[in-house]
Amino acid sequence: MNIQVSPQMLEGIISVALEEVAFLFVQPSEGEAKWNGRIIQADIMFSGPCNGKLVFALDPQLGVEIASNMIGSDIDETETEAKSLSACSELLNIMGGMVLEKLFGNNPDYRLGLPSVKFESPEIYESDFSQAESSIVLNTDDGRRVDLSIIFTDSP
Amino acid sequence: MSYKILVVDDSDIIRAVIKKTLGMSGLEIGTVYEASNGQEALKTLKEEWIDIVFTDINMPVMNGIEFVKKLSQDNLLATVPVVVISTERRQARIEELNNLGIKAYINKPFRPENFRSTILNVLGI
Repeated sequence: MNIQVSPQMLEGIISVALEEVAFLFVQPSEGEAKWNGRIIQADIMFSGPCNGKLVFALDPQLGVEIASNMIGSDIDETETEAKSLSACSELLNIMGGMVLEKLFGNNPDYRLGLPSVKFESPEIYESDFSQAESSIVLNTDDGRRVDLSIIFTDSP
Repeated sequence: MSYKILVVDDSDIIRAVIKKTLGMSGLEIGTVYEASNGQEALKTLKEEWIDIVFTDINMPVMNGIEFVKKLSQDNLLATVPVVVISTERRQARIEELNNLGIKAYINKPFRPENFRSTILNVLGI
């Protein structure tokens, strides 16, 4: 089975999800985008005609903004981390559904797993990122980085 | 007329997004009740008059499928219109839900106009 995932497809999906769910606008990164300290990394496994995972990574401050925009109000300081992780998890779940529809269409035999999300060091994340079949690095207007990658665990 | 709505989702973030989006739909939205699973939703439905229910599928305790089945088995509650909101896009799953009696299906991500058209259509306004 020949399954191709272009960075443009990932860009379209992440842009729509961020715009419609979190009212956040992003554009492709120009030049080498760097992380500033730890990041939020969310993964979701999928199975179907081919298996793999989708990885969503972003600056933690962006996670707070996403959560705040999704909820529609400021977040209590004591809940900042939990809410931003939860928001990123939900956002990845939404993107997972969009990606699988693009990849497998109406094939009835595909499944999306449950998202897992954590704070991670950029170095550990980069080892996943380097295995990606396809990925896109985007920036917000104020230069904060957000990535979406797809990794196949078997050959499509 | 303002509509009384029940939102069923285990994520408080998604419930908040749905409430916010309903508020942007241009419709007169009354009380929006919340439940984090099908069991809580059934309890609310037995206590309150609800015009329309929006529910997720994957939830702990009682998922959306079980919830819809329970509703269809209850003489009083079987008439409450249920709309499923999910990331699940497989046609087979949507047909399964249609066969269980749901009135509409909304994919995530959604827009205010999705809610507006769905509410107007489902409630026949």
